[in-house]
Amino acid sequence: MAQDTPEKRLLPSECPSCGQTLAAKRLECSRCGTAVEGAFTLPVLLRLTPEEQELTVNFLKCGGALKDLARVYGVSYPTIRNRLDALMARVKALESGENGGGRT
Amino acid sequence: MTEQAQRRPRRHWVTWLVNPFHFVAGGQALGAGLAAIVVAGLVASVSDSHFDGVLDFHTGLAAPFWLPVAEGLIDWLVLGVLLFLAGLVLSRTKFRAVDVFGTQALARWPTLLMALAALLPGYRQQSARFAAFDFSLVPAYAPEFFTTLLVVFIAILWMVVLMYRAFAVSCNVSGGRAIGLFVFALIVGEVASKVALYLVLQATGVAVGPVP
Repeated sequence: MAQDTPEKRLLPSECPSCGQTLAAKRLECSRCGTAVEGAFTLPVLLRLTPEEQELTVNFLKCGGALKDLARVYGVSYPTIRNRLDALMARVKALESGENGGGRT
Repeated sequence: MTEQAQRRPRRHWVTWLVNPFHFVAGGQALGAGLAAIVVAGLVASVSDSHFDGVLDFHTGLAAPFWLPVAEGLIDWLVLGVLLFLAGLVLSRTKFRAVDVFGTQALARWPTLLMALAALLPGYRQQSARFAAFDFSLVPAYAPEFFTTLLVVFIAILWMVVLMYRAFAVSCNVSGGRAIGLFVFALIVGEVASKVALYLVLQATGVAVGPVP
């Protein structure tokens, strides 16, 4: 992963060694230091690539208006719609993989 | 401009050349494409050229000035309908008719290059001879004749690439099945456009013949 500033540090979702989906094991409160340990499955949205997450956020910020979203990216309407279709397919695949594997 | 909008595909100008539909589609493409078709038709009428088929371009037959314009529009419409139907069969996602017809219109802009190249006097003279069934090649006409043929050949290839890209982007299809259906639509469109043009000539009583 790139050595970015802490504000831009990306949450990895796949194991860099074997490619298996990572799970969160420890969550810590930054104010009081309380820590919670367990096996927490990463939400689907966090398992998307940074570009896919960015597209999701921009889609929401545009209020779901594909024309506005296309303008943000500087591409045509069908191009951005095709990207969203691919994103939807990826989310469904992640969800079906999650349901098929059972909750940890 | 947002950070996202500042990101551009590598070789931006190449994308504009071979896949402008990445950036423009819908009503914008339709307007620009129809304008190009109309202008190409008007320019073609000067050199007695015709777009007598989805991919066809011939010179040497005199006709009213509006006929090449009508030919371009009919060619666009016929292929647009066929590719729209192909998209309904193949695509797994929704798509807009305005994107299909708009991108197909814009994909025909290389016809303007063909029409301009056909203005070369040597090409026109030689083509008029061929249209009158005189198949002798006049050496003086040869350089301009073959130059125009080369430009027309490249423009047709470019147009086919653009037509496929337009189909792929507007209908969100790709792969072997998309290519197969596209080729099928081209072949059917070639036949259908000629039938449609024949019916237009019949309905309007227009006679097309060798340049006097």
